[in-house]
This record gives sequence, structure tokens and C-alpha cells, in this order.
Amino acid sequence: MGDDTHNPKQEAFEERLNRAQQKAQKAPEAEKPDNASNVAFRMGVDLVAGTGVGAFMGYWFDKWFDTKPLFLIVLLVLGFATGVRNVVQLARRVQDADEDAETKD
Amino acid sequence: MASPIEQFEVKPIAHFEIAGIDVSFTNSSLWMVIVVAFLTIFLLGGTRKSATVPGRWQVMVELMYGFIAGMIRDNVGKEGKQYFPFIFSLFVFVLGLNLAGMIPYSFTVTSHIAVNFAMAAFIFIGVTLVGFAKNGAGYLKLFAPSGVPLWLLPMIIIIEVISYCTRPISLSVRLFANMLAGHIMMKVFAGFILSLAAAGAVGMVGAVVPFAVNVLLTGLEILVACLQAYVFTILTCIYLNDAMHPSH
Repeated sequence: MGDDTHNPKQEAFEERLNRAQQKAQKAPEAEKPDNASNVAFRMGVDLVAGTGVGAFMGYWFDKWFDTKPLFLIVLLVLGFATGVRNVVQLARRVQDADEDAETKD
Repeated sequence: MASPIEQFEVKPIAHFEIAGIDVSFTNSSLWMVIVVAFLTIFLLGGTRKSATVPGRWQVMVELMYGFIAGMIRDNVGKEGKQYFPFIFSLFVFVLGLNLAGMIPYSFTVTSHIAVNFAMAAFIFIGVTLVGFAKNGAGYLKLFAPSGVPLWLLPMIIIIEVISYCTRPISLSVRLFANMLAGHIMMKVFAGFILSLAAAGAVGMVGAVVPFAVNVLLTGLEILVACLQAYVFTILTCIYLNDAMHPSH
């Protein structure tokens, strides 16, 4: 430890510290779990969930108001529209994020 | 050989019945109790001394605290601090259940949609109540985005309402499907090992391949367990943020 200026351990430590600090600054961006399989899975669930919720709401409205099958049909279609809208929104967000990343590089 | 979905069977341990409803203490309840007991010991034990220079145990607890506090600060903002106890409990509970599922012979509570949906429905109702309590009727503006032509508005409102109602479903299905699929996959590959090893000397050598896959899958499943607990919590934060600042 006598020669401070050429201490390999010290240099390695400085380097490691620098790297850790850079990583810590970048961390918030890298944290988002937006990998491809996650996105694909979310799209599938969104599409099915929209249609499912529409059908469910339609079924119960028909039961309450005795209007079988008016609400079921209308809300099933709107539920599917919701699913598609959610998928398109998600796809657009992912695409924007990708383009941002590309222009930065 | 055991079927790959046998591990998800809910078995009653002690029978109870209240007003004709079966409320038996099952293996699912048992693992929830184990996880809550472990978390209580872990968190209370870690904060017992509250030393200025923390030991290893205290650092683990403080890191978890800091992680969730940071998540709430980034996603909900400063006013989100008052929901910290709820978000933190939710995170450690889901994480604990997911990781407890990785212990051999244990039971994966979060691989059941009933459990996840109950949590998601609770969050959904809670967040909706917070939204109305903070914004009053102004919260309904969430369903009517600005800049939409008047003739399109009725349809957009219905679509927005349906979209809002899909939240608890996508929240719970994501956790449930990931846990279910992962555990089935591990069991299937474990089955391959047994059936190959039973097929003589060549099979025994071949059985190394599914064994290696299962080792990799174990690592992957631990990652998925943590990631899905994180996703579940961060989505709750995002919904909470929508409820507190509906204009965004």
C-alpha cells in the first residue's frame, strides 16, 4: 500500500466505482420488463379480456333488462373493439420506445 | 407417473364449514400462512436492532423498502407515499408466494386464478374508490378523453369503460398464467427424465438432456417468480397513479 499512484487495486476500484455509478444512472430506463415475449403475452390477454368483459357485461345487462340478446351482441362487438384498441395502443408504445432507442444509438 | 397438473390440486387439511360454505383449511391456506409467518419474522427480525450501520439482515430488509419506496415515487409521485404499506405488503406477499412455489413439494398459491383474481379485484375496487374519493365525479373524465368528436363519444365511453374493467383480468391472468406454465413445464421435463431413464442404458445417458433443461428452467422460474411479483406491483402503482391524477 506504499505506492498510492500505481496501486492496481486502487485503479481497479476507481474503474469499478465509475462503472457502478454509470449503471446506477441508467438503471431506471433498463428496469422496465418490456421484452418481446412479455409484450406478446400481454397482447393476447388484452384481446381476450376485452372480448370476455364485453360478453360478460352484455349477458348480465340482458338478464337485468330482459332485452336478450341485444346487449350481448352490441357489447361483444364493442368488447372486441376494446381489445383491438388496447393491442394497437400497446404496439404503438413499444414501437415508439424502439424508435427512441434507435435514434439514441 | 404423476400428471403434470397434479401439483396444483387443492387438498383440504382440516374441514370447516360456515353457513353451508366450505371454508376448509387447505394446502393453499397452509402455504399462505407459512409465507406470511416467514415474512413477518424476516421483516421484524431485520428491523429489530435498527442499527445506523446495518448488518446483512437489516440491509436485505432496507433494500426491499427502498425498492418499493422508489417504485412508488417514480410511478405515483410523492402523494403515493400514503399507500406504501399496502403496496409493500402486496409485493412481499406475491413475491413470497411465488418463491415458496419453487421449494420442492411445496404448493404454488399464485398458480390459481381464484387467488390472483381475488387480489386483483380488491385492488381494482380499492383504486376505483381512491379515484372517486380524490377527484369526485371528475374521475369520470378518465372515460371521456378530450378531443373526441361528439358523435363518437358514446361509443368511446363504452370502450373506455370496458377497457377499465379488463384491468383486474389482465393483472391476475398474467401472474397466474406465468406461474402455471412454468411449473407445468418443469414437471413435464422431470417426467422426461424418468421415462428416459427407465428405457435402459442409452436412455439413462439421454436423460442428461432433460435434466440439464430442468436445471436451466429452475433458474428461469426463479427469475419469473421475481419478475411477475414486480409486474403485479408496478401495475398496481400505475393504476393508482391513474386514480390520483386522471388527467394524464
